[in-house]
Order: sequence, then structure tokens, then C-alpha cells
Amino acid sequence: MEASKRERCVRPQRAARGQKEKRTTAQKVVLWVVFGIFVLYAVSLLIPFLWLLLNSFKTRLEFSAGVVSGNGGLSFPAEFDIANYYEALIGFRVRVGSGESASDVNLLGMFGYSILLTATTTFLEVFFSAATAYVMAKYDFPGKRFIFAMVLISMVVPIVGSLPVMYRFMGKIGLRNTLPGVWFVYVSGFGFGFLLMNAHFKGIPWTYAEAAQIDGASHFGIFFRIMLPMSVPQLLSLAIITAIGYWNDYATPKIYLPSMPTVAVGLDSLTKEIQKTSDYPLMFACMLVAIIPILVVFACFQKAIISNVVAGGIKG
Amino acid sequence: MENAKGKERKIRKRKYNLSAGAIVFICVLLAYPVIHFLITWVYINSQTIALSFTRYNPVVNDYQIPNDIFYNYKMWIDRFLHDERYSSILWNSALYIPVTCGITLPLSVVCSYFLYKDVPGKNFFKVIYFLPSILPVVVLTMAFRLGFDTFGWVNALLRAIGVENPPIWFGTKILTPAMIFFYCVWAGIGYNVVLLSGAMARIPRELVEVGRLEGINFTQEMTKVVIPLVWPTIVTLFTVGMNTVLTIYLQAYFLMGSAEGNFNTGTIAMYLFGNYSNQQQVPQLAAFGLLCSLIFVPFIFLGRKIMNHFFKEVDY
Repeated sequence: MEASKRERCVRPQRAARGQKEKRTTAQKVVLWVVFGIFVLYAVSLLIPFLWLLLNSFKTRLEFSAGVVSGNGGLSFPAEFDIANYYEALIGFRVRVGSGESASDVNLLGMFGYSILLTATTTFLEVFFSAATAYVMAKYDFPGKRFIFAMVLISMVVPIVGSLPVMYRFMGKIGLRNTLPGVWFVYVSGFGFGFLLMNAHFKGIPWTYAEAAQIDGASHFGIFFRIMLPMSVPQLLSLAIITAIGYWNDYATPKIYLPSMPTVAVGLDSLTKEIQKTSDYPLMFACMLVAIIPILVVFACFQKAIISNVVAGGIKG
Repeated sequence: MENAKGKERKIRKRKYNLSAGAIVFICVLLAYPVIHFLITWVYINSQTIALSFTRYNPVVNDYQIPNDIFYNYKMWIDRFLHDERYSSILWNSALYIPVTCGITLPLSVVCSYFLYKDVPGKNFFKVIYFLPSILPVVVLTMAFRLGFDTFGWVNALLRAIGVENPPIWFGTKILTPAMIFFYCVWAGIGYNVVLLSGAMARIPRELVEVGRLEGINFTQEMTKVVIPLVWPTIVTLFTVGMNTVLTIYLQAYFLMGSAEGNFNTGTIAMYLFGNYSNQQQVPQLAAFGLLCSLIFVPFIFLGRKIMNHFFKEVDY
């Protein structure tokens, strides 16, 4: 009975959504003009990468010849040679660190550092965001409002100038240039993930927990065995979006972990080194290799990523 | 006395209805986030404030309070007023407010509106426009800059349409900052569009239908129906946009290839990023950051307050 009532309410809404708006000719013209502008903007976003792709297969001489002829690299390579990609991934190295701890790292090594840093930090951030959000959403305790207010203030009020003090503090406690140090800087439990998970946990009925309590489950048991498994899709979505942020981040690993250059950090050094040799096709190959993992993840989880950004933005 | 305290504790416990297990659970799960918050926000920021009133003494290798505790602040005020190198940092940073809030945000609103109006290929556009948000800034800035280089595809296209001497895009005092702002608009629209499209998708169709029955055109629908309904999201993006005055640096840093920058492209955050490791300068940098916050944060809050007055938040 309830279900059929709901159906009756939902159907007209769905029909309304499915129905195409009737538009005047002027409105149709406007939409097509806008479509043209949108296409141009989309092309402007794609062209730089297509240009990099085309030229990444060229030899240095071929690219230089194109530049001299004034075609701006807008020509197909004589041969689609992947030598630049091999060189970008394995061959070309940059020196990191100084003194005895100095070492040469290639892009493959940087991928390793990025994977290690991104995987561990994402796991910790998602776990602490979920734990904090669950407690704040489901328990009423003294100081809860104060904590919530402080978190919101810290998100809204921008205080700059603390970077040198934080850098000094990390050195003092011996966490500078260590992986746990970067975990400490990144993982807070109060951030975008907290807002997202807080809204999610608020939406889960407490009756699940009550049923488990009757069966003798503890508070930890309810959280780990019931609430977290029920939130796997949200946790995965959050993990993907958090991981992309950590993978792309430049400043934190650059400042706090210089001995382990991630792709974002190392790419900057790599391209600066390559520019000295004017081997631009190699540089283009490096840049493209660096974004392949992100593009693959985006292609696979595009809907989850966009919907989470939207949810986080609106709830935030 | 002991009894009274115990009673009070019992009353509080009953009010929150927390068992001993629940208290342990809350404490364990909130321990890390709260400690982290206390260290990285409360302690670091209070240290920043305290250190801003000190000066480095090389004799004792420590920070000491000088006779004039406002020395650092007076020094920065003097530099901002009389030294063009430093006043240009404030000026450059402030210019990001009209760029993000006056150009990127309105363009994003218009783009989102037409995506909401089902422009052909809207899902494709959303995905493409979101790409700059998921790619590392280092790659995106380099791809953009290389295109505008003397050997890049932009100049080649300009030459092809008859422009004999295309400008050196990143080589003049006026054009260089303009190109950085252009980059920020070019790369910044997508993220806003995704958030605004999400907010617009939540608008009940019935509300828009009423307007359509009254014969309103696209402009009227956008300004009188859609924008008021998504106003909270616009205000959030406006506030984030205003915050860039204190936080933006990577774009200019990568486009110019150094923290110093050329042609006066330095910003507040870039100055801090370029000097954070100089421990002798910590007091000056702390004062610099706090002074900049004191200058701009009131404007950010004022801007938000003014924006909130335009339309009232509506629940739908």
C-alpha cells in the first residue's frame, strides 16, 4: 500500500524529468551558440595534451625541425617511436637529497614513492574521517558542539604564516623527511572526508546499532562490524577522491619529504633538468606518463568522483 | 563536597546517557583527531602569533622578544607602504579576488546554467571541464605554458592566420600576470561548474516549470529562479575564491618557474613558500602571514556577509 502510494508520487516526477522542455526557436539558437562555445572551451582544454602526445613520439631533431619551420609542433611524427616513453619512465634520473643520502631517482621510482605515500595516507585519512564522523554523528557527549565549532572555524578562517613554524616544529620532533611525518601533516580526521562521512552516518538509522546491541555487540563491534561495512561505497568514493588529491599534491611532500620525491614533486625537477638539454619530446613523454594513472582512475570512477565532489561541496 | 561532585557527574552522565563503554569508545576514536587539531591548529597558530613578536638572535641561536615587540609588524607595514617589491605582493594577491570572484565564478554560473538547460553533450562537457581539477598543477601549468611558448601551437596558429609577430606571452610586465590570470580562469571554471551543476540538479523541476508557464526567457530564468535557489553554493564558491588571495601560489610558481617569479607575479603564499626553510626569518614570516591575514580576512568575511544579503537560503 505504502509502496504503491510512493510509486504514484514518484512517477509524475520521473515523467516530468524525462519530458523534454518545449523551446522557442530563439532559445534553440541560443543553446546551439552556447554549444559551439562549449566545444571551443573543451577543445582548448584537450589541445595542449594532444599537442604533447603528438610531439612526445618525435625525436629531438624532428621536433626542432618542426619548430624552425614554424609549424609549432602541429604535425604528425614521422614514426610513432616509444623510445621517449622508455627514457622518461626508466632512463632519465634526477638527483635528490644531498651528501651521503643523495640518490638518483627515475620516474618509475617516483611512481613507487607516490603509490606508497598515497595508499598509506589515503587509508589513514579515510579511517580517521570515518571514525570521527561516526562519533560526531551518532553520539551525544559533552564538548561535541565545541569540537564541531572549532573544526568549522579551522576550515573557514584562513591563517597564513604558520608554514615556517610548522616546518620548524616537524624538525624539532624529528618527523621532518619521514613518512610518518607526512602522515601527521596530512591526516587530520577533520576535513572534507569528515563532512562527507558525517552526512552519511547521520542518514543511517540507529536501529541497526540497537539490534546489534541486543545481540551483545560492543560500541567498537557496531562501528567495525556494522557501520563500516555498511559504508563501503561511500568510503571507497572518499578514498578515490582523497587519493587523487594526495597523488597530485606538490607542496607537502616537497616540504616535508624531500628525500622521497613523488611524481608531482619529481616531475618538476625532471622537467627542469630536461629543459637544460632542450629534449622537449622527452619532457612531453614524462608529463604524459605522470598523468596516466590519474586518467585511468578518473575514467574508471568518473561518476563517483564527480558526485562526491558535488556532495562535499554542497554539504561543505 | 565529594558527594556533590559525584551527583553532578551522575546527572551529566544521565543527560548524555553514556555508558562506560561508550565513553571509552568516544575517547579512543576522537583521541587522534582532537590531539592533531590541538597541535596543528591551536599550538602551531599560537606559536606563530607568539613568534611574530620576536626576533632571531644569532648569538644565542634562538628567538628573543626585542624592546619593540611590534618591530616585525612595523617593518612589514613600512615595506608594504614604501617598497614596491613587497607592496606588489599584496597587490598581485588582491588581484586574484576580481579574477576568481568577478570572472571565473560568473562564467561558471553561466556555463552551469546552460549545462542544466541540457545543452547537447552536457555530460561529455562536464567530464572534460572537470579534467583540470584532477590533473597535477605541475603538468597542467606546463602544458598550458608550452602551448604559449615561442615554439608552441598558439603562436603557430596565430602565424597561420596572418599574425606575423605574435607576442611573447610570458615575457612582458603586463602580459605575464594577465596570462597567469587567464590560466586561472581557463583551469578554474571546471571545478565550479561541477559543484554548481550538482546544486542546480537538486532544484525541483516544478519551480522552474512555473516560471516557464509565465513565459520567462533564459536570462530571467537564470537570474530570477536558478541563481537565487543555488545562492548558498555560489556564496561558498565566492568565499573560496576570496580565500585565494591568501592561498594561491602554485599557478604563478609553475608558470614562472620559480618562487621569486618574474615581472612581479609573486603572491603572499608564494613568498612564504619561497622562504619557509629559513629559520632565522621565522618571526618575520609569521608577522608577514598574520599581517596579511589581518588585512584580507575582514574583507573575506565582509564579502561573504554582503553576498548572504542578496538572497535568503531556501529549503527545497
